[in-house]
Amino acid sequence: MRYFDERVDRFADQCRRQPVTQEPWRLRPDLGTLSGAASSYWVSASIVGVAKPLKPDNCPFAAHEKIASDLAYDLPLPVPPVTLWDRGPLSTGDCQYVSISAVPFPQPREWGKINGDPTLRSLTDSIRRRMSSAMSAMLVFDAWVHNTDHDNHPGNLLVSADPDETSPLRFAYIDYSYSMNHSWPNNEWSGVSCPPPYDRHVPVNTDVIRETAQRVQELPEANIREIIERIPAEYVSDPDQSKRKLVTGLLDRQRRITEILRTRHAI
Amino acid sequence: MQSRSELGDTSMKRERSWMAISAIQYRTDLVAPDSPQIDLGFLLEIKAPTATVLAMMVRKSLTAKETESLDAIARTQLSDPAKYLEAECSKALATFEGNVLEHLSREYVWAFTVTAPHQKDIPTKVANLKRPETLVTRAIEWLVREVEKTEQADHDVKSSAERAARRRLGAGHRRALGRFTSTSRASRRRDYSCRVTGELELRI
Repeated sequence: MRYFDERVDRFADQCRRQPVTQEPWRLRPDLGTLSGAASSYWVSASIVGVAKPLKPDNCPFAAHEKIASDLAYDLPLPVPPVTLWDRGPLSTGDCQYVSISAVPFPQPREWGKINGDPTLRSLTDSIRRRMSSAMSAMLVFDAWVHNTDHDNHPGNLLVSADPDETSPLRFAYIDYSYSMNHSWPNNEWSGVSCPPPYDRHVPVNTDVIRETAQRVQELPEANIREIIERIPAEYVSDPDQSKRKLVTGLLDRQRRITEILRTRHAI
Repeated sequence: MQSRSELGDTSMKRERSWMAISAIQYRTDLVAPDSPQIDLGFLLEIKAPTATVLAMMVRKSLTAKETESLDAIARTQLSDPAKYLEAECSKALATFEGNVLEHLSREYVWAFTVTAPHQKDIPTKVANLKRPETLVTRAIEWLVREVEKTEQADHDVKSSAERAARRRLGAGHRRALGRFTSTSRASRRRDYSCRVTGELELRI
């Protein structure tokens, strides 16, 4: 269900090996103005990506993006590869330590923008059926990392459909700023809060939910710890406490993922 | 007691008049740094005391080669670009109050893109003209110039056959302008909103 462009797959391999990019990224205002949770902006190097946050924030948005992306890579699930980027000292008040999320495939469109377009009705019906498995898997992932920003958010699910219907649907969940520590100002990880599926009109596949939950539970603790611990301190305010919370929260919810999912799904 | 004209003059002085233009593009490979694109046309917005206008000038159709480069979603939507974009503009007009292009440029940011509006002030003496058609006509001329600039940048005109084709393209623009003039004549009001679907012939 992770069908990214092959250039992006190569970039993903690099990102998983090396958390901080050494590529010469540059700003690309010519590609347009982005908005969203942590004010993002276009950049490019060997490929195009979305950098965030624009301004420094106490919440480690860049770290959230990187951690979610690396966990998804290991599972593997359709979250675009993310690298960390040190922009160097800036006099503008903009954030120096940011994340860059790769554009996952050539013609990404926001599901919220095309879903409901009357001219696309038969196509969106077909896409909805084809995205059932991926969306069912991603609701497990979102429950694990406690993402609260995929509740029918129009812009956080990207799709592209090949004219040949037998080709796999290209599908990517983006924006993990509002997950993990953002959802856990105290010890809220210990609850059973389970975010709803992105689109309630897409049929949920309980077999896929069970199978993905099992894969999440089988992910080695060492991988999870490594993904969190290797984030450089500059990308996380109060790194010791923040990282401890991230490890504790993710390991606790990993162990209880089935219990969390059962609050919303009959599995 | 102030006269009506004095009140009117005061409000006109306070309100900034502007027009803005955005390009409509479809990026066929947003992964690539050079992000190749299909130019679909332009949107124009005017905000002045006597005119609130959203106009658009878009291509009637895409070439076979362009269509081939699209995914299934864009292929369906852009089978009739003007119809699709007119529907999107209607939605935008119904949703956003003012600064429609600014909103659209933040809404359409992935493969289908409305670029950040390039805005310029309208001089007061032009903005306060009693006949807003003059203002609108000037704005539409700007729209046409932008379309022609894009054409110029994208394609060197090398042969006389191509030059002749470009003249035909200019005729298409004039037809669009004519259609607009008749629309604005039909709606002479202090504040009015009208939409224009321009005609733009295929690229050479």
